[in-house]
Formats: sequence, structure tokens, C-alpha cells
Amino acid sequence: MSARGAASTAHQGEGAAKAKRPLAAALLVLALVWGVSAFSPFAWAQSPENASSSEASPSSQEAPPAGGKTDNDLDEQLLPDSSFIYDASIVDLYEADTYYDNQTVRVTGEAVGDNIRAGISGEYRWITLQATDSTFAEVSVFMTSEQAARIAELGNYGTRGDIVSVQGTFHLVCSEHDGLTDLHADSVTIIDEGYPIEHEFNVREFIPGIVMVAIGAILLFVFSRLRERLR
Amino acid sequence: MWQRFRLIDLRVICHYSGSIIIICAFTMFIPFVTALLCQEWEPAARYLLSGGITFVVGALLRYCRIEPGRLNRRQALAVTGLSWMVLGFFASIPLYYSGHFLTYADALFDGVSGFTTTGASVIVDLDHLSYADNMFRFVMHLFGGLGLIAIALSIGLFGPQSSGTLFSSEGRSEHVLPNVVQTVQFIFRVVFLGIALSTVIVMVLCLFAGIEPLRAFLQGLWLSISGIVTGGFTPMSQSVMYYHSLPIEFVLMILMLMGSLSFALYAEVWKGRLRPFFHDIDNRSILLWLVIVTVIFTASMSAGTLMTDLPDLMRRGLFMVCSAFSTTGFQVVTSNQLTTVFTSGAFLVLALTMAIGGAAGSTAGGIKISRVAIIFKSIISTVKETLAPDSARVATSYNHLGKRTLTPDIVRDSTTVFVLYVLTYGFASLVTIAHGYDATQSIFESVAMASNGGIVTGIVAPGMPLSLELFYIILMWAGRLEFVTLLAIIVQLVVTVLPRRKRKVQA
Repeated sequence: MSARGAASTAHQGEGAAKAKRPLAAALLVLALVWGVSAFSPFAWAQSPENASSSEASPSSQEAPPAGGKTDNDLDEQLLPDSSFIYDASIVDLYEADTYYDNQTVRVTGEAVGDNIRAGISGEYRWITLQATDSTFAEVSVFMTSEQAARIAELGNYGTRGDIVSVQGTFHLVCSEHDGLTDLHADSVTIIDEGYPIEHEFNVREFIPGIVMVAIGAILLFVFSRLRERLR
Repeated sequence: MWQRFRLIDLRVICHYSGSIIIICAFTMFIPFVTALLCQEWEPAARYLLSGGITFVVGALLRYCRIEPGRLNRRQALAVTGLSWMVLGFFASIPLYYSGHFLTYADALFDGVSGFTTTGASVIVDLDHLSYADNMFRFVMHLFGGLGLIAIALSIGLFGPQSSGTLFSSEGRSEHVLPNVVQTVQFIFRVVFLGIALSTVIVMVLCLFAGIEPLRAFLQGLWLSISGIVTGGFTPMSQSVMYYHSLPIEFVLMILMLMGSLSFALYAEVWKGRLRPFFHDIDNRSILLWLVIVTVIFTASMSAGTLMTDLPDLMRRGLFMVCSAFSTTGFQVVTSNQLTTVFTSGAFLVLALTMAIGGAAGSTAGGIKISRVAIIFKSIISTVKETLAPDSARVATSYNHLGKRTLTPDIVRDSTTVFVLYVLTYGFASLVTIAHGYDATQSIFESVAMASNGGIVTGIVAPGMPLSLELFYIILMWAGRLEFVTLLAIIVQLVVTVLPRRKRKVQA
């Protein structure tokens, strides 16, 4: 938006005074550089919030592979272009039309359910990512076993799953997976670790139920006696 | 002349409804035991209390008439018709307090959907639901699919005198063996055998996929129950798509097809008579209908731009056709794909498949394929009569558990139910459109509700308009009873409530 605004300003300046053309061009270039640096993934990756979230995750602190580059580092080839949508919500993908098809997106959600083997080899896994907002929308994420192994907790009753950020390519109709809507992960980052939710046993909670069942049993017993008498 | 309910009728109806409610209380003790085994203490206490309340209400209602005597036809219709809604109400109590429903109406919707085996759900955050709550959802499916009255008859709650009337008033029920109780027990044997076999297979496949043993067993059990009773609930919110497993989808397709064939024909196979199975009007019509629908569906999808590859169509398309035909409601595509990827033609073909449904005497919903076949045969017979000489007498027959002659009574019954379904589909679509939804989606969703199909595209969702939700609840109830029983109850109640007209005094 800023770049577009700057371009518009430069265009007006061009009409007003031809002498100021070099200045306007310089402004335009500056605005473009600023715009790209402000909204590019590179800039986001350097932001303090992102740095802290990565540090908070023990999974992301694993020893980097050869070459000093982890899987969670941003892929520098993913420059902003027509096939790149930056942060998207899971509900966006859940309600996606063809606009999102084959786009690179980054989504964040809770890993829920099971770590499901994809195919026979076990090289890849399926993880279900659920939106953490009130929509509870879900997307199936296709990732390598190594990426999936970093997810320690999967959400279910009594467990809040790991909050995971996934960057990858979204397919509305995946040709590789017989038309499934899915997200092929390029990188997986653990944002927040999951934890068990304890439900303590409290015998008092059972007393009303026990009383009601006892009353029901007595009523049925009395009923059968009354019926026998009538016969 | 319309007959009114008298006080004695209402007392008898309450007594027998109490018996059905006691069965509902029993269904809640199954999740209670599950919760204890899985150490889910909050659901355990919740199901014990809900079961207790239901038990007390059921027991009290039996006091309305200590010696109720034999049920007459009108009373039997009322007991059958009302029990589905009453049980939905009691089932909604533990569901609502699970914290997974935004409103009480949502919980009631799922309760009715569970018992009527519709399979549509407005639950939120299903993937965090307890095992106990999930068990209850599938127990509802099992009891609803087998038939509440059938279960009550099999355990002798109604006594032998009333069995025939009650059994026939529940809809979808055919006499397989001479005795009604034997018939019911045979159906149960077939269903439980199917569930046991399928549970083992799906569990092994889930274990292979990396699901831990307890979850694998429970998911196998629940999917098997839902498949064979053509219910549609699944333990995960992504439905069958969640498992990413072609073998699981294949097993479930077989189960769905099993559930949508007439149980009467299984008895023939059981006795070693294969000929009636393959010559039956239901099975032949089903085969023909599935071929026609699949060809049209594939042609329509091929004309689109997205899901056009043969493997995609074979896996996703064929499964969806089976799910729609059996009115199960399992999905291997997202609701979003149904509206954005599927062509409008394919979308409407699925709706039409749901509208027709499976065989009579099965657990499938919809109009029933045999009714459509009988109407077609009647049309052909009429054309033959028109062309035949005046002296000729045209007799048409069909095969269903032996050769039968097509009589005007059979044609009338089939046509009545057919017309009632079509009118309901049309009316429900208009009601949904009036709520501001897209027309094709409205038709699809309305058919899914009235046929107990359960495949949804987004209209049925948490937070849907209350008026539409209540309307859909009535629609699922009416569809499960195939309308006639419900209409009879409504007429009886209206006549009972309305004051009598004073007879004109003749001068």
C-alpha cells in the first residue's frame, strides 16, 4: 500500500514539474525498497516476536543439520510473487476457493488427533491442524516423518495439543492425494508446547447420579409389586 | 370420522413411552462405563446423573397405567412417533452439558440426528470430545438404526400382544421370520456380526496408520456402527477423510451398502437361497440406479475444471455416491469442496441420490428405491393396459421375497409416501431459501435432513438460525417415520385438542 501510495505521489509530481523527475524516481525506488523490506518474509523472520516464539520452542532448538540450516529456516526462494500468500488463517483455507489453490501459505493452529502414516513407507505423515479461534476449522497437513516427530502433544480430550506453525503449499484439489484438500508442509515450527488437562476424581460429583438411579430402581420395584397385586 | 384420544389412551401411551425412556436411560450407562474405564471423571458423573434422571422419568411414566393391556393401532402409532422426539430430548441433556454445543437447540439437534441416524452434527471442537461422549453418539446411532421399538420388543418390554402393530408402525421394518421377536433378533445378529468383523478390520488398519491401540479400537467400533446403520456420525470432525486410508474407505463403502439392502434378503441368504437375493426388485433396482447415478455424476464432474482425474473421481466420487445412496453421510471431501469443486450437476445428482435412498426394510432413509420401482412398474402397466384390447387383463408382478402381484393398494401406498417426500423436499427447500441461503445449497441440505442423509454443505452448522434448526429437527423426525406415522399423530392430537362440534338439533 505504501509503495502504491508513493508511486501515485510520484506520478502527480511528474505532471507538475518535469524538473523534479529524478527526485520522484528516487522516491519511488526508496518506497519500493521499504515496502518490500517491510512485508517480505525476511523482515518478518527478523522481527523480535518471531525470534522469541522460535526460542520458546524446544523443538526449534534442535541441532541444525549439516550446512548450519534448520528445516524451520525460511526458504529464501519464497520471494513475494503471485503464488505467495503470507499469513492465512485455517478458516481461510477451510473456505478457500481457487484463489488459494497452489499458493504458499503459513498457518498456525493446534495439532489434534493422531499422527497418521501416509502410504506404506512411513516417510510422510498426516497431521490435522485445528484453528485456535472459535471456528475450530481444520486442515490436513502433509509433512515428513521428521517434521511430524517434533510434535510431541496431539490435542484430544484431556490434552491441549502443540500449537504449530506450518508454511507450505495449499492444494484445493491435490493431484498427489486423489483430490484431497491439503497443505504440503515446507517448514514446521512449534510455537507453543501442548499440555495435559487434568480432571480430578471427586466422589461428590457422583452422588446426585447415584441418588437418582436408586430412586428409579425403587420406583420400578414398587411398580412391579403393584402390578403383581393387581394380577 | 376422526377418532379422539381418550384419557385411557393417553395413560397407556405414557406407560409405554416410559418403557422406551427406560431404554434411553440404559443407553446412557454405556458411556458411563466407558468414562469409568477411560478415567474421564466429569463425563462419568454427567452420564450417571443424566441416566438417573431419565430412569426416574421413565419409571414414573409407567405408573400412569399399572396394567396397560394390549396396545391398539392408534396408541402404537403415538408411542412410536413420540418416542423418537422424546428420546432426542433426553439425549440432549448430557450432550449439552459436555460444553461442546453453543446452544441447547444444538444439543437437541444432535440428539435427534443421532437417534434418527441422520448423522448431521452441529457440535463444536469434536476432536477434543471425550470418549464417553463419543460413545454415546454412536450408541444413539446403534439404537436408532436398529429401531427403538424393535429393541423394546426384543427384550419383551411390550409383551407379545402388541408386537405386530408396533413393529409395523416404526417404518423400515419387514417381517423376515414368522415371529416378530425372531425377526428382530435375526436383524440384530446380522448387524452385530457386521460390526464385529468391521471393527477388527478397521482397527487393524488404524493401528497400521499409527493410531494408538485404544483409539484404534474405539474408532474401528464407532465407524463400523455408524457405517452399518447408515448413521453418519464420525469421531473426528474431518469425517472419513481424516484417516487418509483407501482400505478404510473401502470397508466403510461395503458396510454402507450392506446397511442399505433389505435385511429380509439376508435371511434368504442365511437359509441358503441365493436366487431371491439376486432377483429381488430392490437389489436389481439398486444396481441399475447406482450405475445410472455414477455415470451421470462422473460425466458432470468431468465437465468441470478441478476434480477431473479418474483416480480422484474413483476415490472421492464413488465414495460420495455410496454415502449419499445409503443416506449415511460420511464424507471424503470437505463441505467446501462440495460447493466449490463439485459441479452444480454433480452436486444435484448427490442430492437426488440421497432423496431416493436405499432399500425398504434396511436402515437407509429416503423415499426407498423399491417404491420408485413400483411406481415405474405401475406406469408401464398403465401403458400396457391402454394398448391392450378391451378383453385383455394385464397383470404385473415383481419379485420381493417371492413373486408378488402389483395391486392398486401397493401402488397407492408407494405413491403416497413418494408424494409426501417430494412435497417435503420442496417445502423444506423453500423454508431454507427464505432464511437467505443459496438455492442449490438449500435443496441439498433440505433433502439431506428429510431423507436422514446427513451430508451437509455448511448451512447446518453451529449458530445456524434457531427457526431453521427447529424446522430441521422436525424434518429429521418426520423422515425417520416416513411421514405417515407422524401425520397420523398430528391429526389425532389436533382432533383431541379441538372442541367437539355441537350436533345440530333437528327441529
